[in-house]
Parts: sequence; structure tokens; C-alpha cells
Amino acid sequence: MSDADVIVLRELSKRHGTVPALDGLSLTVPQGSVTGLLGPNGAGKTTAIKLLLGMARPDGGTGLVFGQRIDAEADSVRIRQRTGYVSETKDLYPHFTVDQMVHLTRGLYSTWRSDLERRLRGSFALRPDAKVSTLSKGMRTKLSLLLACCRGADLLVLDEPTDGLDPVAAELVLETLIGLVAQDGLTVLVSSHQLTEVERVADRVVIVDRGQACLEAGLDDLRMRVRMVRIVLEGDGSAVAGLRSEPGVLAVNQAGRVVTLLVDGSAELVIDRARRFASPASIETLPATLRDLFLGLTRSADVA
Amino acid sequence: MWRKAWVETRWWIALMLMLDLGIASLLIDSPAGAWHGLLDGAVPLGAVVNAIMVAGTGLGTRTSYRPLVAIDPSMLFTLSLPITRRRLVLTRVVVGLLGMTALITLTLLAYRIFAPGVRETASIAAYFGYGVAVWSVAAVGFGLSTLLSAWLDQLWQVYATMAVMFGVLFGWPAARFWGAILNGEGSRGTVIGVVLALTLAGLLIEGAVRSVERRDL
Repeated sequence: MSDADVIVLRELSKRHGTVPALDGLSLTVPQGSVTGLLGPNGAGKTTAIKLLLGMARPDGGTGLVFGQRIDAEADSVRIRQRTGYVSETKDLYPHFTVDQMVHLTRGLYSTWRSDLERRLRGSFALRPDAKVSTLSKGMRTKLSLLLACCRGADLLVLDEPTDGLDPVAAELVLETLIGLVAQDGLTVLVSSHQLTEVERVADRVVIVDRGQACLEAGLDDLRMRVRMVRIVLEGDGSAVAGLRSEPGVLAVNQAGRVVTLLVDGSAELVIDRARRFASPASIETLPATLRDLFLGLTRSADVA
Repeated sequence: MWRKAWVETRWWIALMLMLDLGIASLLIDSPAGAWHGLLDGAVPLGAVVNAIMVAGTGLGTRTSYRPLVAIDPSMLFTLSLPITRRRLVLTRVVVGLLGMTALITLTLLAYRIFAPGVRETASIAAYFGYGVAVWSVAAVGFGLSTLLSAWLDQLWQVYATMAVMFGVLFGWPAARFWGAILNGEGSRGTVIGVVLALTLAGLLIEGAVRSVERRDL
């Protein structure tokens, strides 16, 4: 672990009854980064976030946030002192007003940022006397984001921050987030299904599937390194199976005669192998988008 | 957090208080002695039911007047705050016990004001002793309900379990412990009973705190 790493998880495991939610999850979130935590439903993203914040205890492995252990109560309080959190449901206290929610949260943080509170209240157009139970999901998201950001936190953990929002509200939330990161150098861990939004705000991604991290890298790095190779076969695809074990092949997906490979690094070797063993009708190499990576890695696991 | 606990429990306490005061107001013209049966039944029953209902809401349930709501969705926000679970539970416990104290005090005060029989036959000391005895019995109900709310996921499960236990503890003829506390009126047996009940309540609440501290939420 480096001093510059805010979150370090190693071989973290957690079961819900007999079902494994996390199965040896390891990931690192460097200081000042915006890391997108991606994965299909049930991959273990929300469980990982709950473990980070001490809402649940890991069954195995280790986890550190700001160098504090996530499974120790006193350490967990210190972690939460420095962490802002927006939950997937954005549920707050329904019988409280906006002002009362702000007052309650402000009282727990000596680092509360009144300047930011005033600014966000203005841009989010939150009525101080509005009861939380009367707020739309979009307004609750804005209030949740205000409560998370104004804590003066060093780390923001956001679980599906734009889920259920209309495009205007989602854009406002993203702009706020980008502004905060740019101005204050916050570290952000954002779990989302919205790949285009993650691509916009994140500089790193961790793709989680079946409770394990199947990819962890910088987005720019991935754009430079990873290529998608699309092969249209003439015959059957039995020879393609051998390509899975080629160095640099991250994922192989086959739909009929079309085989798609995600290749980390030079694709030349893989293309050469494909030409020799698979009798391709055509081969093309394309830059891989985050969507290609996500679908390739998670679908590849399904096929395997 | 004090305010949150108060907002979530105040309606139930107010409801029970109105019920108890309503019964007390019926006794204005009652002959001396007629109050006794009602006092014996209504005050402990009101206090214990209130205690069970308020304590049963626990950390994860929304409010005491929405019994079918299981886990409070806003709990994730609560748990993201830099507060230990012990403090969260104990805040609710203190607010609940304060509400219970107010309920018992105001009810007994109302009986003393409205029911002539109470003024004529019960000394202040005996009346106070009776209040303490009722409080200690209700505290056991509170502790038990708090413990169950730490174990069970749904509020109705807590209430159903408490209803069964309540029936056994108060309805079973051999279980004279509670009656001995409530009717002893200052005797040595009552004092011992009160001390035992308060100790038991304390142990139940501590058990609930430790259980919540270890639980995945």
C-alpha cells in the first residue's frame, strides 16, 4: 500500500447466507482519483461499499481506508468522519425538513463547509422548509449530495448517484461532482451502471463481477492499451477456444460466426494466431470503449 | 439524533398518554375504591405497551406507528454518520425511557387529580413507590423489546413475540413476580423486585447494544 492510496482492499470476502457476495475482492483507490466501480447487478458493488463504511463486516480479507481498518468500530467512525456517502436509494429521514437534515448533519462535522452549503443550496434550488417525504427522487439525490459534499470529506462514496434522475438533474449532479473534484481534489469512488457518465467523470475504473475485480486500470491507459478485435469466421469456431489462453486476451465472446476479442497490448500476435488456426473471412481491429470492456469482461465470464 | 429519536417516538407516547388520561377523566365522579381496579390495570398496561411499542422500533425500523415497515431505508444515511452504533442505540433508549417516564408520571398525576379515591386512600410516598414499581416493570418490557428489535428484521415479528411473552408473564398465574412488584407498595419484596427488574432491563439493553454492534445492517 502506498501513502497515496485512500482505499486498499485485499482478498475481501463476504457471504450473505450461503451466497458469496464478495469472493476475494482486491482493489485500490489512489488519493485524488475518481474511480468508477462497475459491474452487473449482484456483482458485489454495494456490498463492497457497505464494508468500506462499516455497515457490514467482512468474513475474510483486509480493508483499509485512510490507513484505518474497516472492520474495527473505532477506526470505522474515523473513516466515516472523513467520508461523504450517497446511498443507492437516497433515502433520508422522511419526517425531517431540508433545513433539519442539514442542521443534523452539520452538527456532526467540525469540517462542515458552510460556503459550499450556500452554493449548493442555490444551484440545487432546495426549499429549506420542504419535508424530505415530499421531495422527488431528483431533489432527494441533490440533498443527499449536498449532505455528503459539505461534510468537508476527503473521500466521496457515491452509489448510483444519477439513478432515476432525468437528464437535466443528472447533468447538474455530474457537473457538481466534476467541479468539486477539480476545485478540492477529492477522492471519489462512484458505483454506477451509467457507463457514459462514468467515462465522463472517472479517471480509473474497477470492473467487478461475481465478487471479484476482473479489471482495474486508468481509463486513459485502457484507451491506449486495449483493442477490440472482431473476427468473422468462415468455418466453425472451435479453433477460437485456443485464443482464450493467448497472452493479453482479456475476453472472448462469440455470437455465431462473429468472434470478438478484447486484447490488452499488441493485437498482432492474436491476429496472427487467428489467421493461422481459425480461417477468418475478415479481421478488424477497433479501439475499445468502456462499454466494450464492460460487456466483454462480464459476458465473457458468462460464456466461460 | 436526539431529535430523530424523539420525532419517531412522540406520536406513540402521545397516543398512550391520551388513552390513559381519557380513562382518568372517566373517574372524576367515580365512588372511592372504583378507581383501584382501573388504576391497577390501566397504568401498568399503558406503560408496558408504550415501552414495547417504542423500543420495538429499534435502529433499523422506521417509526412505531408503521408496524409493517421492516428496515428503515434511511438507515444507510444514519450508518454513514460518524457515530458508533452503541451511541445510536442508547440515544433511542434514553429518549424512549424519558417518554415512558413522562407517560407514567402524567398518568399517575392525572389519576391523583381526577380520581377522589386515590387522594383519599393513597399516601404520596406509596403513590411514588407504585410509580417506581410500574416504571421498573415497563423497563423490563422496554429492554426485552429493544433486544428483540436487535435480532428480528421486521417490526411485526418483535410485536408478535412480545405479545406472546407479555401474555405469559402477566397472564400466567404462577408468574407472580410482576404482581408482587406492582402491589407490594413499599414492602421489602417490592424493593428487591424493583432492583431485580431494573438490573434485568439494563442487561437486556446492553445485550441489544452488543448485538447491534456485531450485526450487518
